[in-house]
Amino acid sequence: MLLSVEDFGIEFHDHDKPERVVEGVSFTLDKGEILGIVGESGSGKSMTALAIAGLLPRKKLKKEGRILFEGEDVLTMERHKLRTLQGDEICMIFQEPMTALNPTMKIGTQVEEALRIHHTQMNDAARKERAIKWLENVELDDPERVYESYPHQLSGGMRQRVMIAAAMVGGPQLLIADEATTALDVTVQAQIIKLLQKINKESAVAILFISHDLSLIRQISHNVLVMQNGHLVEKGAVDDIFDHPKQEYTKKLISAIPKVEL
Amino acid sequence: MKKWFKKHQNFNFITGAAITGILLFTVFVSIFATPYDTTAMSVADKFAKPSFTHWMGCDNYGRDILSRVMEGMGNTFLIAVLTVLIGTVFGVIVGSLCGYFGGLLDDILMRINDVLFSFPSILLALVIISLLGTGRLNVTLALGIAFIPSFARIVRSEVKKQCSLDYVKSAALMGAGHIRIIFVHILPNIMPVLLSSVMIGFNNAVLAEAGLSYLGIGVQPPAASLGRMLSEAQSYLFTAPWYAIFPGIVIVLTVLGFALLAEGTTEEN
Amino acid sequence: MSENLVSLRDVEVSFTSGSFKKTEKKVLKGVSFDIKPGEILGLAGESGSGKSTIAKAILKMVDIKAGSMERNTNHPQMIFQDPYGSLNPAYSISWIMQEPLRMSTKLSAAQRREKVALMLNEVGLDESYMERKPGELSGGQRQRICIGTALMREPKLLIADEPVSALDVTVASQVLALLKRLHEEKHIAILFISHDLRTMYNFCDRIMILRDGRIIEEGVPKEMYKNPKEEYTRLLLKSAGI
Repeated sequence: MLLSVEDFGIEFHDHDKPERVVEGVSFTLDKGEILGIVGESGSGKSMTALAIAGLLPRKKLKKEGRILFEGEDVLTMERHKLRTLQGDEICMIFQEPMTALNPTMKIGTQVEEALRIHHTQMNDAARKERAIKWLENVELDDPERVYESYPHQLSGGMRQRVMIAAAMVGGPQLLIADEATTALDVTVQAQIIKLLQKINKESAVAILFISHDLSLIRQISHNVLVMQNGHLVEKGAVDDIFDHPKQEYTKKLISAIPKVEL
Repeated sequence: MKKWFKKHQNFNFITGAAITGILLFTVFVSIFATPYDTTAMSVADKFAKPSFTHWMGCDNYGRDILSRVMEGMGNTFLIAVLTVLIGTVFGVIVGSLCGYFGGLLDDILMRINDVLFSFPSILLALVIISLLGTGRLNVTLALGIAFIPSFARIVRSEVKKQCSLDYVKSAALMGAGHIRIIFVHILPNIMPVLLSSVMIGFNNAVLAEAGLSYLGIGVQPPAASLGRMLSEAQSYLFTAPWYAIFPGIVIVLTVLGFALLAEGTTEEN
Repeated sequence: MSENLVSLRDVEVSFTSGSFKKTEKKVLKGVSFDIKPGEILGLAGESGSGKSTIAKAILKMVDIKAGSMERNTNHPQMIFQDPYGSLNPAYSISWIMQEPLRMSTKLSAAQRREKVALMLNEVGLDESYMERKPGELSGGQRQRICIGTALMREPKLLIADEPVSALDVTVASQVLALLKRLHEEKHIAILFISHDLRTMYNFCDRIMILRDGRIIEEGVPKEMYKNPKEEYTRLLLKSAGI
């Protein structure tokens, strides 16, 4: 077991009244598993993801429960320890490929960043070789040229591929994709989904795939969590959830997918 | 009232409002009465130290400094308010037309704006005064013109930002004309930004007026203004330091009060 | 045979950028189609295909460079994708919804408010929303307000540019149901612009596929989805998991 979330909860204290955004969420993630989290806005899915990545703010916030990554609690972990995990063992890709890359830095530099921080023993040539290899792995044409270019010279789909390469370059155990395909065109979306599946098979990296889009979740995930208003509504294998939903909310979500009967 | 307090519960805003409130109240009182006649000279009181009869002491002609500070504040405030008013009204008109229509009009107006902007506003005001002559009205006019470019810039960029939002297109589809879209639909949305720049502008205007009067081209004697008093006081800085200190403190307080108010309003938005 | 609401013939639109070295980019490269009264016409395509430019051309918000656009209906209305930017945040719902009436009618304030109250009911909200500001509403509620505001001028054509793609799935299906109901009750033609072929399948009477400024395929959803003629249509369908 790679990740175990136990009775996890978040309460915000930045207004007059404390606000519970996540409550009593428990689930586990195995090595090499693709777990989909589906939910509408305000369901707490992104908050849970940020907590796992150790990216929650430390102030004005109460955290409950435990998030064990390889047996260690990321919620109570010391900062320097957490930093050795972030970007190396746990990586994250975000929705906006347009803003997630630094516009003033070359793609190569950004892809190598994780290596520069976590694998200091590597020399420049080895780093470059590794970066190019990953740019090739994410199916970018002419990786040498991409390595030397800047973000504005790439399309949205290419940037998201670069983000995946930058996340994977350090050889993480867990990749968190928070609405990573939402801003992309459908055809590009389908390509990225395929790419993530390929990377999952080849590198045995576990993927936490967060989306509001049920059809994408269905395509990519092995197991699914359904969240609503900070609570875990239902969890199970992807086919069970979609073919035999037990909870009323899950049924409602599934029936909201437009049906196409040919 | 309770709601108002809850809304303005930030330190900057409250402190700023308190300081500005006290100063404005003093100006208000000075319209009706000052402790002494502001121009009454008295040889016996020449350079009198601050005391219970003359709280801020007397100047080189034996005039009561408190009374003159009160009158001077009134003059300075009046000039500053009018200056900001001229700057804002014309700045909003020029800026919003440029931001909304863009194109050639924008290019021409903004290049003129850039030329004006490239002079420090005091220098620009000096040039205009040298054309118009000195006096309270001319100083106001000169400073007002000098203030237009900065307001026009701010308004233009804000209007441009708003124009990219769909509610502007939606307003056009409702049948609203350009002028209505600019002034009824867009303007209320840039108010917060405009308001805080008005307050900062007011500060600059107070300082600019003080600067011009210090140079002797603002308010003409025997009328008082804070800057004028400082300039007269500088020859007696060591014999009668209070002559310079009190007007100086009032300028500092005015600027501080409005700066805090501006800071407070931006925080709230 | 009734007259078409809108006819486009070989419409070309291009944008120029840069002030010294002008570069011209063709966005629409000869688009022809008609919108018939009371139909729901779907316009599908990916980003950069020129979908929104077609909407702007019909609304006369861009200059048409070549070809012709004929419009037999006054003031067609539009609903935008982003429900957070399309309502003026400075005013109340009542003020916003009255604006079209203020512009085109001589009704008194009381009469206008009465009409707004009626319209709020029609879009599934109630009078309690009148004094609220857009900032207090959810995305779905805002989109309902947008629809209500658009209908205040009783248009014959409504252009809906990705009206539900920013909404949660359950909310999206409700908003779509509302659009469909209003379409049936008021016989409003809808030009439904979307990238989501799944949603369009049940919603549209006819679908056009737009690619790179050209309409490459057009047809009734059922037939087109079964036997797409173009490779690109097939790819789109496959990507959407159909």
